[in-house]
Amino acid sequence: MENDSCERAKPASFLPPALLLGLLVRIAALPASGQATSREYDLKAAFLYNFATFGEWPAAAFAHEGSPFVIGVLGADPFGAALRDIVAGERAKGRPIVIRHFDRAVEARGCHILFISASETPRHREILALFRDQPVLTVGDVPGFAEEGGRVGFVTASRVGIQVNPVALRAGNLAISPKLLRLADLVAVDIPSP
Amino acid sequence: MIPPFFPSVAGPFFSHVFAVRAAGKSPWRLLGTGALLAGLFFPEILRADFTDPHPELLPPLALKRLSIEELLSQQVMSVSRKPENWAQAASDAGIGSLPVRREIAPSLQTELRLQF
Repeated sequence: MENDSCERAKPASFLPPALLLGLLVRIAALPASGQATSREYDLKAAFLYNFATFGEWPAAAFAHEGSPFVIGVLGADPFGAALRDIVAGERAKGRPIVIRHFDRAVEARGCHILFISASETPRHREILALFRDQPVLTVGDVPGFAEEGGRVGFVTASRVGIQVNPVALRAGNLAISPKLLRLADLVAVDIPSP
Repeated sequence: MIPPFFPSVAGPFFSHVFAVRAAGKSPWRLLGTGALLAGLFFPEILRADFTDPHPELLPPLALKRLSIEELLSQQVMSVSRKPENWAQAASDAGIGSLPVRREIAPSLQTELRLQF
């Protein structure tokens, strides 16, 4: 009788580890809420918005007191609605932010931040030369953008990194806050001449 | 209608419990049940993808509230580009103009015309 009860106890002692194991496997398979993952161009759009805060432009970059802060996209727009959604109703330097799209670089001279799309890659050097001494924060994400004279380049891998070309910034009479500079990679300079 | 006492659990979870209870008193049966459970669970453990296959994506409006440090720590889900001006991209890549492409695949052009 006593042996019998001992044998009955065995399944019960065996059960908890097995059930716990199964439960752990199932919990591990559940989606992890709050995981830091983003779509590439949503993330880059958020960076552009931040650059408006961390950058400093000369007063001459703004036509008049009430002129807006302009973020331009030159070439094919990879952001979809993300950039427009992010800046909607926001202000930078006390001015409303507006988004403008350009097909030709010469039309984009009035921008404060200009994202140069990968579709413009064959013309990058000419475009960057055009903005060499302009107070326009040129931003791009093709490899080597900052080395070629772009002011801020995105480096895209599993995360998005930032490269800054400080000499190109100075040539345009622009500055970036030390906080952003500390987080960015500073690159060697090669400013295309006009 | 009386709601079920136990929540609905997918898979053979409760059947495992009943299998163990039904195993009875014999150590051999117990061993067999253990082997059965191991057989059921271990493939699941081996197959389990502990990296999240459907990560929660932060929408743009949530991204704009993040600090620059948090943005830099964000993992990128996809590095693929959204559609670009394909004609421009194709000509930049030296593929050629549209008439050349039509010459390359004339049969495809005919098939498409028949379909539409």
